[in-house]
Amino acid sequence: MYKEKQYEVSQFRHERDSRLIGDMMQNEAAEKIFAWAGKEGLEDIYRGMYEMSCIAVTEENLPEIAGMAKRASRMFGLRKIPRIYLRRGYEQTIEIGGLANPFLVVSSDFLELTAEEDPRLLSGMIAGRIAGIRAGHGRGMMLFWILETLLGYLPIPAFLVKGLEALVNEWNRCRYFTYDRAFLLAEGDYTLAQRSLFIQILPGEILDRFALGSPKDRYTPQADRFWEGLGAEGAIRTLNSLRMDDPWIPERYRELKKFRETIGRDGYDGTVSA
Amino acid sequence: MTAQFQHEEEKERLKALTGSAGFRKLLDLFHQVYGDLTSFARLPGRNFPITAGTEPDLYELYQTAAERLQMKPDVPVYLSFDHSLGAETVGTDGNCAIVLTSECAERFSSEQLLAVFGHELAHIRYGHVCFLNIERLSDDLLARIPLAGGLAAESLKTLLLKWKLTAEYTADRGAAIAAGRMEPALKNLLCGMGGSGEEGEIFLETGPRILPQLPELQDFSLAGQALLQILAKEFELPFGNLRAARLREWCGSKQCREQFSPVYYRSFSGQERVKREPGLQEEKLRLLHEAAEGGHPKAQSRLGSAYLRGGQGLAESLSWGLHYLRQAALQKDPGGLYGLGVCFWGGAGKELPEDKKRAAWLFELAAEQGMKAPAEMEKGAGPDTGVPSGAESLVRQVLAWYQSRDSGKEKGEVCFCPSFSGKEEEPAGSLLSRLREYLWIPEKDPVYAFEAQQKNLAQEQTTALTRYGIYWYAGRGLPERVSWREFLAGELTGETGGEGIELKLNGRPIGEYKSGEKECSVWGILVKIRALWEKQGG
Repeated sequence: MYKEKQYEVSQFRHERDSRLIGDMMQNEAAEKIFAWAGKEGLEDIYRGMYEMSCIAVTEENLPEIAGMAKRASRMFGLRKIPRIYLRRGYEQTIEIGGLANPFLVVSSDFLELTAEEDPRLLSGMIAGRIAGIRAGHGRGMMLFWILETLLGYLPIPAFLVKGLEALVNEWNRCRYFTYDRAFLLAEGDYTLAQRSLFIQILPGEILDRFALGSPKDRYTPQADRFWEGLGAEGAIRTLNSLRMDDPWIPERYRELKKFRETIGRDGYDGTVSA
Repeated sequence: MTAQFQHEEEKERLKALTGSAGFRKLLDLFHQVYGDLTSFARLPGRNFPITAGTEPDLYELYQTAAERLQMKPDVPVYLSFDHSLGAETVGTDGNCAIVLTSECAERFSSEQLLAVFGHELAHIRYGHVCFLNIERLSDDLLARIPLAGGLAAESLKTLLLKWKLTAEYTADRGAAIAAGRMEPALKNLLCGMGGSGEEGEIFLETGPRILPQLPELQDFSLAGQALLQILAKEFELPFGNLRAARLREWCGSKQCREQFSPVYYRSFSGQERVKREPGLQEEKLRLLHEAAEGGHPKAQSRLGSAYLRGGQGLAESLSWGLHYLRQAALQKDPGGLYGLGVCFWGGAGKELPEDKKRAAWLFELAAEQGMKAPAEMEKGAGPDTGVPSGAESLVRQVLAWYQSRDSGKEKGEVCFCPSFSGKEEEPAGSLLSRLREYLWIPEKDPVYAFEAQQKNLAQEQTTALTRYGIYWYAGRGLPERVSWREFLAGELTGETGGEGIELKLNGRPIGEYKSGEKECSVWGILVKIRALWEKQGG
């Protein structure tokens, strides 16, 4: 049976996420970037623009979403519920922004997309990002964003930045493993957690036919083919995925499956149900 | 005089912008590179035109928006297949078009579409189009200028951004004016930011939030300015909350109340302000507006007349006056019907061309609903109404002559309205008393004449004499009318034809009568009156 409890960071943060965040924060360039950003007041501008340009979710205007955030904050040990902004025309689903005071950005288009879905899908995804804030992703996301948009303005030698860039790109792929784990812990539904990986890629009715997470999961053979590889083709495929900073679905699928096997069908103290 | 709603800071920001040498270079480059207006020229081939023939509902909204902004609807409008919410103006000042997205057309209500059109029209009215396009294309333009970069380029883009924000404040006001109140414009902003628009209620109820003030942008470092520019381009509606707060502020301001009264009184903000200051004249106007918006016909006709006149706390507004009178008329309120009829009678600016036939029809409808002519009409307003002085005694003489010959007899060709004046100087039922009452009925208007005529539909042609002229009904269409002044002073000719004499006034057939002395025809009476009038020297 599903029951709510609080989780420590170590219970949901993926090992690679943890290692990479550590490496990034210890990187010399990262330290300089944070110092520079603080001096330039970039976080104030960044946050201020969101405050001026987006609808902030409150208990009055969007009580369901506010409630989801409150529950997730309790569950993953965040003392302060992060601010949530709605944003239109945003290609992401839910993202983390901000540095010292991270916040969430939810795509209004994504809200429309999930309106017909089980509300636990949205709840789980919000929980995942809140868990990410708890795991220190705010700093990682800020780094990622600065490198992507303000690279030309950084007063830091290019060779230093290059090394950091590679770390940040890899972390950007791996952070989703943490979100997926937190989703599973928050909602206790493995099928739903796997579904969340594909929600922006495939229409709901097609996803239904895949029977994700069930013994008749039709995606498993396909995912396995990616890992078995076909010699050079498989290696190239894997190499390409490592170069991209987008999360790779087969990898996320596999990691989530492993996590579920690790914590068992009943999860931590009976948290996760079949 | 056209009411102004330009944001106070816009001129100052524009001055700062156009005073910059860098910007002038940018402007020249813009005209060189984009001067052929290729994107504008391609519109007809790539987008669906919105005209009275293709999309009458949308076009009507566009016309209404233009009317409320006191502009001509002469800018072409197109519909584009696009999932973004909003519209844009393509081209340059003096040669542009509005492009509305299909997403807007599908999702937005009529009021919201009015706000969208109003927003774009406001940009056109205040000459923003060229500068907005420059702002949008600034990265590309600056890339073409050798050695342009660094702080100079960022500062220029910052100046553009600052001006653009105030231009949007102006355009948001235009949106509220076109929609007639603040809420649709506010909804559009909220939808653009990702909301459903319904959050507007919550936004307004919780009061204006303390928004971070936009600091002086030039105080930002190069990276800070660059960051702001990047984010401003990334967001679908940058500074949306700031704009919503500024709009709300303006809709409750003195300027809005004095120059755009409908927006003030119909907006939540204006109502909220008035609620905080009870007992003022504004409270009465607020209640009147609420009643009118709630569909109360008397309130609508009263408000309509008030807007036509202006004054007493309301800005004169022909379009709003007509709007409320129409609303009242649709509910068959006699005041609304009559008021609208008066507007059609003399025409009402560009909004309402003169249409006397329609006016007479509206008068008729008003009378069916129990309308009594307002006091102004009793004063004989206008050169065309009323009996010229001196004619009254003539008519009495003629009538007396006929009465002496045909006393007690009523002829079917003359129609009389029921007496409402209560004057019984003559024996009731006599031809003279009835005709005089009919002729000089202070409370009457032509509509009563037709009511009586309809009771005599067996007659081929029925005629009514009223204070405002001579009406005759040929059995089809709207009644014909000629004023007393026209009848007595125009060229009157008679031709023998049919069973009697056909009368023509200034070449226009007006009626016929039989010439035999024993006949009592109203046209015969009128011809006699005319003859006597001429004999008197007119």
